[in-house]
Amino acid sequence: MSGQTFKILVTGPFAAGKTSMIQAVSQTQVISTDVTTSGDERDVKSFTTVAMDFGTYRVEGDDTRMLLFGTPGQARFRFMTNILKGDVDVVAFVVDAEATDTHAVAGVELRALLRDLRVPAVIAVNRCDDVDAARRLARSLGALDSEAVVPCQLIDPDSGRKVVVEILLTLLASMETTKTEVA
Amino acid sequence: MHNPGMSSTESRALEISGPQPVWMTLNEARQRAFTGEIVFELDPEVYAYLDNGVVYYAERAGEAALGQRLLAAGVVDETQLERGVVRVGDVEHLGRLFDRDPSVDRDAVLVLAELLTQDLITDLANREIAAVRITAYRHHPSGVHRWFVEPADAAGAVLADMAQIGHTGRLSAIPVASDEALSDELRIEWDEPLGVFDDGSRSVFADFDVARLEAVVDTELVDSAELRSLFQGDEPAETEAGSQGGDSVFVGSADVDVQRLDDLDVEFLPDGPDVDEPTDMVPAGDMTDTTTDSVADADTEFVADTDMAAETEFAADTDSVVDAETDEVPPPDGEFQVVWPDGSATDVSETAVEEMETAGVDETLALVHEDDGGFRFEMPPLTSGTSFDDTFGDEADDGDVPDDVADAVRRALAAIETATAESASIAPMDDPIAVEYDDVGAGDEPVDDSGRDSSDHDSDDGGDDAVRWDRTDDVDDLWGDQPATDSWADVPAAKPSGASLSAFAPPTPDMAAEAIYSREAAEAMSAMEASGGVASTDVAEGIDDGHGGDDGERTSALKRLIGSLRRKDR
Repeated sequence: MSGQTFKILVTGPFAAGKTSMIQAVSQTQVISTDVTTSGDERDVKSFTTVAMDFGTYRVEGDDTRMLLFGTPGQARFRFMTNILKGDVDVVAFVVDAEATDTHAVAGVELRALLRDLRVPAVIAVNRCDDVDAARRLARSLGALDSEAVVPCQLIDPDSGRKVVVEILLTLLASMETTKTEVA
Repeated sequence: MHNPGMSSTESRALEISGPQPVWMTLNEARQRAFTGEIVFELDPEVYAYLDNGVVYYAERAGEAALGQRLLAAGVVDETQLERGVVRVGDVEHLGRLFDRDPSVDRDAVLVLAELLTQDLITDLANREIAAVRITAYRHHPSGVHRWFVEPADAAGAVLADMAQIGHTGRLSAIPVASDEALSDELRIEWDEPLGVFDDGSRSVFADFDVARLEAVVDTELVDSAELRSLFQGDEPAETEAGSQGGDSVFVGSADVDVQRLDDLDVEFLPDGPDVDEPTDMVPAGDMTDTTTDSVADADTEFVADTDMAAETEFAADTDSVVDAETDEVPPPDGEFQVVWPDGSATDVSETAVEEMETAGVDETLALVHEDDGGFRFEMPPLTSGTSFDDTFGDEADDGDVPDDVADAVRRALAAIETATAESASIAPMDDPIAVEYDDVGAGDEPVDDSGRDSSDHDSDDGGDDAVRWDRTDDVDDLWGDQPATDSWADVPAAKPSGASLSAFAPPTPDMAAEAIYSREAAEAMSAMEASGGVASTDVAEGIDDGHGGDDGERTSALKRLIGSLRRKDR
C-alpha cells in the first residue's frame, strides 16, 4: 500500500493566525521563513512569514501524511497563493474576526481565491466562538453557502487541530461527492 | 409625531395637524421634492422612501426583507443573492447586487420592487392617518436607493450644467489659437491697433492702456527710478495704444533692470528694420543686448510671452505670430542662440552640437546579434573605479565612509558589472529551476534564511543557478515520496541566462494555478488516448493516482488521518 499525501494550503490576510494553525498540528518543526516585521506591520506582530510556512503530520504506523503550506499574509505575496493553490487538496482561508481593518483586504483575497479554485475551501474565522457570526463574516467577505465556515481560537492548539479536522472532513465530503457524481 | 431630530422647514411642512389621507402627504412630498423616509403610523407602520418626491420603495413593518422577497418571487436565486449581498455587521446591503453579480436580471428585480411599492402605496393612498414621522435623507437600509439613483448619472448631470455655465457670447467672439500653434514656442506681437482685428472685432485687450498696467504693477516697482525711466525714457514715449500707426509701443531706457522686467512678465525686444514688418525676432548675437542697449531704441515693441498667450487663449493673426524655430533671420555663420527661461542666452555653434552628438553615441546601447537568432543590448562596461577616481580624485577616499556601506556599494557595483557583462538575452524562459538541498540533520532548529548573505548561496557551487533550500530529514522523507511527475518538480521558472540567482525565481505564467490545471487535464487526456479511450471514471481515478493510490484507498487514508487527529484532540 503506497502512502497517501494530503496537502493543505493555509492562506489569509496578515496576522490572521495561519502560522499558529500549522504549528498546532505539525509533528515536525515548522519550517518557518519568518523575519522581523518592519514599518506599520511591526505594531501588529514581531515576526512575519515572507516565503511560506511548512508543517507536516504523519499518521502513526501508517504512511499517510499531511502537508500544510502557509502563505505570507501581506498582499504583495499574494502571487504565492495563486501558485500553491494549484497543487493542493484543500484550502483553508484564515481571517481574524476582531481585526476588522483587515476584512476589506481579506474579502479581496478570498474572492480572488475562490474565483478559480477547484478544490474545497474552508473559512476559519479566528478569535470567534459564534458560528452564526463567523458565517456572517465569511459571507460578507464573499464566501458562498457551499463553503464551510469554522469559528476558532487559534491561539489554542486544540482549536487549531479541530480546524484541521474540519478541513479534512470537508475534503472527505468533497471526495465522496465527486465519487458519487462520477458514478 | 415628529422626529425630534428634525427641524428643517421641509420636514415641518410635511407634518399633519389632523387625520388626512395618505395621498395628501405623498402629494406634498412630491411637490416639495422631498428626499428621505416617511413613516405612516398605522398598524403595522408603513415606511415609504422617496427621492426627489418619488417613492422608490415602501414596505410594511415586519415584512420579510427585500432579499427574501426577491428570492420568494424567483427573480434571484440563493447563489445570486449570496454573491450580490454585502454584509456589514448586521446590515445586508443590496445596493451593489447588480455590480457583484452581473447574472442577476436587473429589470426583473426593479420591476418586482416597483410592483411591491406600487401595491402598497395604492392600498395606502386613501387611508387616513393621524401622524407621520419624517426623516430627511434617510434611505432604505438595504441600499435599494442605489438601484434607482445612479451616482454616476447625478455627477454627469452636474458636469453638464457646469459646462453650460462657462459658455458665454463674449468669449465666443475671441479668436482662439489652434492647438498646433499653442504647442509651439510662440511670441506674439501686435502690429495693428491693440485689440482690434482685421475683421474689425475687438479683443479683451481693446480697452488696454498703460494706466491699467501701472495699477497692477507693484507700487514699489512703479516708483522705482528704473521703471520710471522705462516709461519716461530719454525719447518721447508713446503711452497709448494705437497712437503710432497702430503699433503699441513702449520706450525703455538703457538702465532697465532685467530682473524687474521678468517680474513684469513682459519682454522687450528690439525692433526690426521696419516696425511694420511682422518678423521681429532678435538676430543672433544681439539677444544679450535686448534689455540693455537695444531697449533704448524708441521703437521697441511690446511683446506678449507664450504663457500669456496660452492662459488667455488669445493669439493675434498669423502674420503676427512668430515662431522662434521658423525665424526668417538666418543665424550668422551656423551659430544660433539658446535662450533660457531666465532670459539669459548662450551662443551655440553647430560644430559644438555635432561634438555633443558624437559623444552621446558612445553611451548608447549597442544591439548585439547572437548565434541562436536572439539579440541583446550591450552597454559599455562600467569603469566605476577609474571614472570615479578621475572625477573626484582625492575626494573619493573611502576614509569617511563606513566599512559596511562601502562593502555594500562594492558588492552592488560588482553585481551590476556582472549583470552588464552577461546581460540577459531575449530567449525562451523554459529552463526549470533546479532545487538542491543542504542536509542539516533531524532536529535542527528551523532554518531562518532571512539573514543569510546572498553570496552564501553561490559560495560552493561556483555561481550555479540552483536555489538551495535547507530542510530536515523528515521533510526529505516526505518530499522524497513525491512522484516524479509531480507538478512541483515540473514547475518551470524564469531563469535569466547568465545572471546568478540568490533568491526565489520570479513567478511565471506557467506557475499559475490555471496553467497547472491545464497541464493536468492535458496529461489526463493523453493517458486516456494512450489507453484507447477508457471510461471517464478511470480518467478521474487516474488523476487522483497522482497522489499515490486509488480513490477508495485515498478516502480510507483520509479517514485514518482524521481519526488520528481526533485522537490527538482527546
